[in-house]
Amino acid sequence: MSVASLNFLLFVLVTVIVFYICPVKYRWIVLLISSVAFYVIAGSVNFLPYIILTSFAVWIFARGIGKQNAALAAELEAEGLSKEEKKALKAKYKARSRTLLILALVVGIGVLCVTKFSHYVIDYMLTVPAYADGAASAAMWILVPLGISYYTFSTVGYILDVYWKRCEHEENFFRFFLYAIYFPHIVQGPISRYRLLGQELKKELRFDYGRAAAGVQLMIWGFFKKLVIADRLHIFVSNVYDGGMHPGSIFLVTCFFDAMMIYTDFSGYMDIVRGVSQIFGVELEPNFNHPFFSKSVPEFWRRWHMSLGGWFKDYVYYPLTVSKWMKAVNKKTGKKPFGRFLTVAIPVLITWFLTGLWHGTGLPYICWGIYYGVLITLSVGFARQYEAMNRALHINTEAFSFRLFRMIRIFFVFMGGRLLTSPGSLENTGLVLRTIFTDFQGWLLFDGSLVNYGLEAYDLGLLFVCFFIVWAVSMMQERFGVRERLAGQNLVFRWVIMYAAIFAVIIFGEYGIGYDPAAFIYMQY
Amino acid sequence: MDKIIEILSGLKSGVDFSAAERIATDKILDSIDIASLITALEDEFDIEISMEYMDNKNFDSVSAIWEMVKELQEE
Repeated sequence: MSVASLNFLLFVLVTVIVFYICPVKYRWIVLLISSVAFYVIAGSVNFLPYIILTSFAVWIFARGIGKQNAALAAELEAEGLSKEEKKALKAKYKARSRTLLILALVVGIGVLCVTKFSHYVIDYMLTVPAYADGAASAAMWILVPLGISYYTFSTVGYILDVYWKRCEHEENFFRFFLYAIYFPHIVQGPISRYRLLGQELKKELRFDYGRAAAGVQLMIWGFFKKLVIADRLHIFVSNVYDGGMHPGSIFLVTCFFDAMMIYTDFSGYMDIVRGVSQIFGVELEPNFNHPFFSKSVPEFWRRWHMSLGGWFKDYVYYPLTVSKWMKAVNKKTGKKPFGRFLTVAIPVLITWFLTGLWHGTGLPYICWGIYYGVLITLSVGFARQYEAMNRALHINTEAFSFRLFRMIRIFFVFMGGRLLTSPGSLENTGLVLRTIFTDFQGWLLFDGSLVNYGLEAYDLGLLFVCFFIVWAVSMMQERFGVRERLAGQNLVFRWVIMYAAIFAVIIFGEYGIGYDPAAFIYMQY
Repeated sequence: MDKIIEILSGLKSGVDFSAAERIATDKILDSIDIASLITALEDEFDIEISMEYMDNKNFDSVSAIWEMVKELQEE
């Protein structure tokens, strides 16, 4: 069951009705049951043991760590303890907590690694006659559960927060399980923090007309981006990338369409699920903040897939930065300019290498991670030199022309990143790049050739109108809350806008005979 | 406190850090600035900042940073 389907809307409708019929104190149970049902319907009943086992393991170990934290706090309150005695107590409890943490990480990350990497081992074994039979039966047993990357990161974040005393552990397993499996965030995120989503799910969830209406508006906006724009672009992009050689100008348009496709697909999904969650009164963390308005690559990654960036920052980048070996590197080289550069570069590059691996296990994804790691390192490491250069050249960095230049630059950087992974292999990436520079054939953009890739002239015209709408709405959102402004308008105006938006999705959505919405791109992770 | 303001101003110019109250939460300093701040604080005050202290609330204002430094010096 795709989130962009009528079945999902019916599922949400039934859940909302049952949710608000039930007394307030049982509403979280409705969400738990509906989330389990969604997981089975959208994925498979065979996936359930994975998520139950890993969630239970993380919950029980986090509970153990929480108990150790409480016991330590109680012992430290005793009067007359010397500094050394306090240190010894902390070390004793820390060692116990660390053991529990390692066990939880082995289970959580272990299952993620087995499901993500085992196909490499199996593919190899299938080529060795002596192991082929065993490998074939193993392949049947290994499943990749729906949303595993997302719920593993959410639950691992939770246990690390308990270990670092940033949040209290959860005593009730079913409450914790709801946090892990909550259906609006299980498939593609956002990767939610327990201290935020866990607390949201514990609130008294009462009906609020304004919030529910805002949730519906957000859903409609998400459906518009997914069904009218992303699914239309998907036709063009897949026709080009699956269809062999094309002139450079067609590849360049495809790179542009591909970047717009992933943005409207992923941010559209986020709008739909955040809107659904708002109807229940549960706020999910935002995942996008108009990333293409960023001034630099580091800022772009603070605005794009924010929950993933935040996760890597809190649970990979900072631990690396404060680690003993990084401090040792810093002590040895930190005073020299290159040493200072190294202390920035090493954690950034490692973090981005791992971010690349999270997106995919092939070489293109590793290169993608290194690409952004290098760009961010250069951007941060030479920030002062860039500032000095701007001053020397008398560049007004606040002028509209320079801001526009930076926006275009960010878009090209993003297209470059997509070009590493979208064509399917690095050979294809090289081929596309080479063709753009050596066989451009620019006139094809104006002689009607663009309609040879699955879209009519009408579709292409509609797409450019939609790009303008997305840009205009994003500009307004940068300045003020569009939904809040809408809520302040008269009833008739609000409903005209709502109906117009709904009909726009119905009329212009990319449907056809045997319609099946293209799978959301980030589901594969 | 003055030393902390001096370190912060060295990381990012044009910000009145003495009045700022959401330095980390509002991303006035980004994650890479925070990493540089940690290194500078450790060098200056002879402390070791561990992950338990890597929370926005400890980096949101000059007084919060100072409280953290004092706590770590007492450990």
